[in-house]
Amino acid sequence: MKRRHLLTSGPYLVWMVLFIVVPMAMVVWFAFTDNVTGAFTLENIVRIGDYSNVFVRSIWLGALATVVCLVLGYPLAYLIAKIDPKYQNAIVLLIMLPMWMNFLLRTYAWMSLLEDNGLINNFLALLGLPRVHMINTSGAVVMGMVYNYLPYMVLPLYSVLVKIDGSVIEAAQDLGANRVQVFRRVIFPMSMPGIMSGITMVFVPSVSTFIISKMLGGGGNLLIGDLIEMEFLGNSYNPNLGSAISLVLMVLILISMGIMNQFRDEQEEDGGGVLF
Amino acid sequence: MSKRAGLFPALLYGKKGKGMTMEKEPIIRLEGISVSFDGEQVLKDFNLSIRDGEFVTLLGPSGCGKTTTLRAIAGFVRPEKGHIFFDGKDINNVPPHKRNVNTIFQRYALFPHLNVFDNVAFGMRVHGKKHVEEKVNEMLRMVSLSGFGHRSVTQLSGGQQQRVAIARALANDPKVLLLDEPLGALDLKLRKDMQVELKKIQQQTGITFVFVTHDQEEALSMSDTVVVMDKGMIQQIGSPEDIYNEPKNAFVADFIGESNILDGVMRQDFVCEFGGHRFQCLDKGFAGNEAVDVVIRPEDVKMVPPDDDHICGTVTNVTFLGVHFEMIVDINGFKWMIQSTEYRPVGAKIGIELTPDDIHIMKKSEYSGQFGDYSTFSDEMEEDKEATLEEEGAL
Repeated sequence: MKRRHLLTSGPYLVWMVLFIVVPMAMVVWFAFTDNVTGAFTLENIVRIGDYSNVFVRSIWLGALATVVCLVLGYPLAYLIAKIDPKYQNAIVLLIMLPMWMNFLLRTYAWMSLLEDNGLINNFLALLGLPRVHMINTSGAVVMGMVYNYLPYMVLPLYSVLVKIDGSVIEAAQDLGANRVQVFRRVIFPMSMPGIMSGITMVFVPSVSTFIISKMLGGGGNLLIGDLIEMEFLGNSYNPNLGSAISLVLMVLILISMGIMNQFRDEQEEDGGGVLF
Repeated sequence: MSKRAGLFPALLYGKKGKGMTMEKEPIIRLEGISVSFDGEQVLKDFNLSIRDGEFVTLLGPSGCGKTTTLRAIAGFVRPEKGHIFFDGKDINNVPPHKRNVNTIFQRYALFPHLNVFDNVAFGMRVHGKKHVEEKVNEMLRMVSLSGFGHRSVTQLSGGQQQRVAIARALANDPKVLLLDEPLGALDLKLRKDMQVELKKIQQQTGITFVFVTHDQEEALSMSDTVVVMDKGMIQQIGSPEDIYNEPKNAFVADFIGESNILDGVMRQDFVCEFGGHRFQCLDKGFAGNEAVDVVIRPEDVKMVPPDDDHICGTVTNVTFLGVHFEMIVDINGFKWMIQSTEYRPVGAKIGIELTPDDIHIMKKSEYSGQFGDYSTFSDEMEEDKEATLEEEGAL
């Protein structure tokens, strides 16, 4: 019996070891070794302190994009879940449609829209309005993040909201809750799992993106992703430092997801959880 | 708030009513209600008055409009025509959350993100009431769920969830409690217990109960008044005894209990003829030789030795049901159901004796000829019918 299990799961095990465990181990190895001598060192980790402003900016812009996605995505998901079910699939499809377009292409499109001589500014000029500098600002970066990751917020929210039983909402009305109370006391808390996974799915890629900041943020809006790219592909070639940054980013994301899950558990157990 | 509002009108009525024969204003009055969904008329010019403190059951097959009636009272369905009065006031335009009625939903509709305590406290909290904890604990005690406050509602059994739903609805001190097939999802034993418990709660609290069910036994055993419905119309309103003993038409006779329904003719007052024989009966007021439906309950039939003075037939099927035997008897091609503690084997010839008390005469209706013949009877089919009814009811 056991041998057969090993036989069927064998290929997957090999795959996982080769492409998940080994690369992770290598990242850790690189992070703690010197890029010249190869000796064990904490130098790489310590040097990340120099880039703390990049970390702060990444987390700030990522959080901002996540909040904007939530504020835009929640009403949208709510509306889709409310309309006639026969149109819901079509609208969900429309929301996913841009995701099938190449990511790079989409971001390029935004570049030409936001440029000083881009579509939007030309349009403003046509109306006799003053041109607005948009490209290469942190606002443009957040804009790019929101545009690219909004579907990841809407879809989990929609799938949670559409599953809320109509009779539960009727029960709340029946017990005397007005529209605001129904939302605050029933719909919102019941959609918490969707909010949590939406936040995770937007925040994580936003924090680690490098294409968006590179294309829409110019040189002035360096993010962690750009930093890592520079260490591996750029002029300041230093894979050891790059690995250390990746490792720290990973730990940061793990911590934030841990906090998030903690929050979700508390919601479900109604305050019964203990922190870690 | 609601307590005070509930007290003063009662006092007023008390004074006004003194020395007058006028009955108390009904707590709920439906006047000419019509509702249709997707062009299909669910309620047709529906009229119903419900007295304060009454246990009223809306009884009928699925699709008869009973749940729609309940939802119209709760405010979830807006009638196209007609008015709903609550305590004498037209509440057509009052949204559900402002109506002083509470509903127990078919599948309880408890809030899955809240524990038992918070579920029961929900109504009081949205109303900003005080002494929530005391009241919730009192309610939980009433439904024998003391100490369950911190449990998650998703971990409770069906019966316990049902109790939470009852406590949650009653915590709001409603004047009327609407119950939408609340026992449909419970197993038989639990259902019987809950029937007794609900009746007890209704008597203790004095709250008006409007109960929807497709289970005639449930309706008969619990209600003060039964409203039998079909096709969006009331077929008969009355006490359980009246409904059972004096059904108005073939539909009611068939839906409530078992009935043999035969074609007959009223020869004159107190004399009817069916199955080739004349019988004395207690009914009068029909036109001479008017064609009528004759109802004979299976348990009223007395078996005698066959002779020319009696309707005679042959036993074709016998089922032992514990208290009695249920026999299908072929009488000139029409199959009767007879229930008796005496046993007759299949193939036995029997005569039938009826006293005037056993015969109930009904006017012909659109339902005549559709019910009351047991020629297609089989136990299996009967069970199937019940099973489908229950499934539909649960939907």
